[in-house]
Amino acid sequence: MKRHNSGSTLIMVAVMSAVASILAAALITLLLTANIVSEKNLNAQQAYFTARSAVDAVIAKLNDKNDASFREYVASLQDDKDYTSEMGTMSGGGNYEITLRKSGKKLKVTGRGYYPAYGASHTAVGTVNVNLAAPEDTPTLSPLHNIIYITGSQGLFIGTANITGDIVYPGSLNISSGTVVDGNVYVGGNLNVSNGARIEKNAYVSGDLSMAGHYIGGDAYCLGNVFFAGESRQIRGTLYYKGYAETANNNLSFFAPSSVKKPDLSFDMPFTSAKADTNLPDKVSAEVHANPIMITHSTALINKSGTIVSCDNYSDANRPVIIDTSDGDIYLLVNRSTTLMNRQFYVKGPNHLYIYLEGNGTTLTLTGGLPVIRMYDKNEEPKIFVIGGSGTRLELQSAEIDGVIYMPDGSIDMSGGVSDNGVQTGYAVAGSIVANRAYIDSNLKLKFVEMNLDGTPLSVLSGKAQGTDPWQIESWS
Amino acid sequence: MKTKLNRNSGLTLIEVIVSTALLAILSIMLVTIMAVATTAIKTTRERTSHAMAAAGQIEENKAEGSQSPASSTTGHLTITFGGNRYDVSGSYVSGVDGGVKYYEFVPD
Repeated sequence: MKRHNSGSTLIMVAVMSAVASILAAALITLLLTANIVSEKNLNAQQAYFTARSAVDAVIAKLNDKNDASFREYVASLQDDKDYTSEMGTMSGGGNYEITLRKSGKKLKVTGRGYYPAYGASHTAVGTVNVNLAAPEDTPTLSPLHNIIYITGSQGLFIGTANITGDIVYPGSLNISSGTVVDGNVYVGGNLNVSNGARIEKNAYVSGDLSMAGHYIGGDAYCLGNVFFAGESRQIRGTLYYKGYAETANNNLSFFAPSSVKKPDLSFDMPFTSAKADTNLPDKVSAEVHANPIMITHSTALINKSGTIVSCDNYSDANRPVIIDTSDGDIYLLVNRSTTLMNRQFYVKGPNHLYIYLEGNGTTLTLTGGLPVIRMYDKNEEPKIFVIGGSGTRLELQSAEIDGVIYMPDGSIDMSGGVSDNGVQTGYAVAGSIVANRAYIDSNLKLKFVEMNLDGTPLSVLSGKAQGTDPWQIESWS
Repeated sequence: MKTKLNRNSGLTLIEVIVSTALLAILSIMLVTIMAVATTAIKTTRERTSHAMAAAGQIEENKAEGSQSPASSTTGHLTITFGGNRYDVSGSYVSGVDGGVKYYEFVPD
């Protein structure tokens, strides 16, 4: 049979051409794709740099020491919620946006860069995440962490007293006559301990330390010289001193038998510059001034802020004045010298009582029989604040106030015994005292009670401050 | 005796001519495509290389920051949250290699 091969070569060539064309088309497509991918990679790199720029800018703003506005904004964010910035434009770098997500003291910052531009065709997106941690709060000394904190160097007298808590005083201090301080004593000048006085914890002395009995129960740190006379074992812990030592018997270990060290000693006295505003808050001053309060024998309840204009002398411990804070904080203003004689004021309710002393020379005196300002329930943490402005004075004569007495430019005088009789608790002050000058007469007991300062004008003194160190980068991703 | 013409032999010549022409065209096309492909691959490779070098320069210049005035210009970046603008001052550093140029902002 005859074979019909005509056209077969042409067909083969055509098939080969078709195959080659397909291969060529594939090659061209591949090249074009590679080119687009290459272009996208270039753009993605710029988008990444743009995203990183935005994240770096956020970190820099968080750590800007001269501008706290962004830190304040971050502090105001709710936890576990995303906050996305408006789209920004970076010169030569396309667009960027930032998303913040806070969780406690952690902050996640996500930067997204878009190049050539957001919404353009073939926009490349770069994403950068950084996890940040807020600086630790810096513990600072709070004046209100002591029973007595004196701001002036000319004004602390302590008679025979029983004091629980720390004492901070920038001047020279005598502790004698059987006074007991169950706490630490910080003295900016010289410290003299004599006549049966004792300090149960440590003593920190910037000047000289003179001991003539009884003892310091903890360690004594002295930047000056030390002088000893009288009985043995007057320093029960370790004596650290920087200057020279003089003793009555030339035997220092007789007075400090545990240990004596003479290191290159230095320490900072815990004097703080933090100060709360002692002015009556503006938001309540109008209300306070518009409501004069006359306390008479029939006054049984104060449930509204006001200005105390008078207080009758009335003695009946069974009829105290209840200060009810159920509806909110109570502000009582004393802007002229006032005496609360024979009166008992008990504070009830979940909110605070603020007694403001205002005006140079204004004195608030508590005197007579069993005068007291305390919580209705003696065991409840006090929510009472006496805040005095410049030149004001608080006088407690056999009287008791439980709470914070904050008069950094004022003075406080305490005298007379305080009974533990159901009305009073036995302490002249159970709380904390900050004053420019304090006179503590004999037979007085004071006790430090730490109070919750949150939400009060004294919260600035709470002893914690936002750390000044930069936010720390925990990880990039 | 009249010999009958073998038609297949004539057609083979035409086929060869057409096939040769087609193959020639195809070859030229393929050579051209290969040349273009080679150039494109070379360009892409060079661009990738330039991009890496430029990115490396960015990292170097960023590390030097404003101490490298030749490669940086001062400026600021603005972050806006809730209508509040937060300006951050700093400098823009660049990395350039071949035809590739990258920018990054480095805060002060």
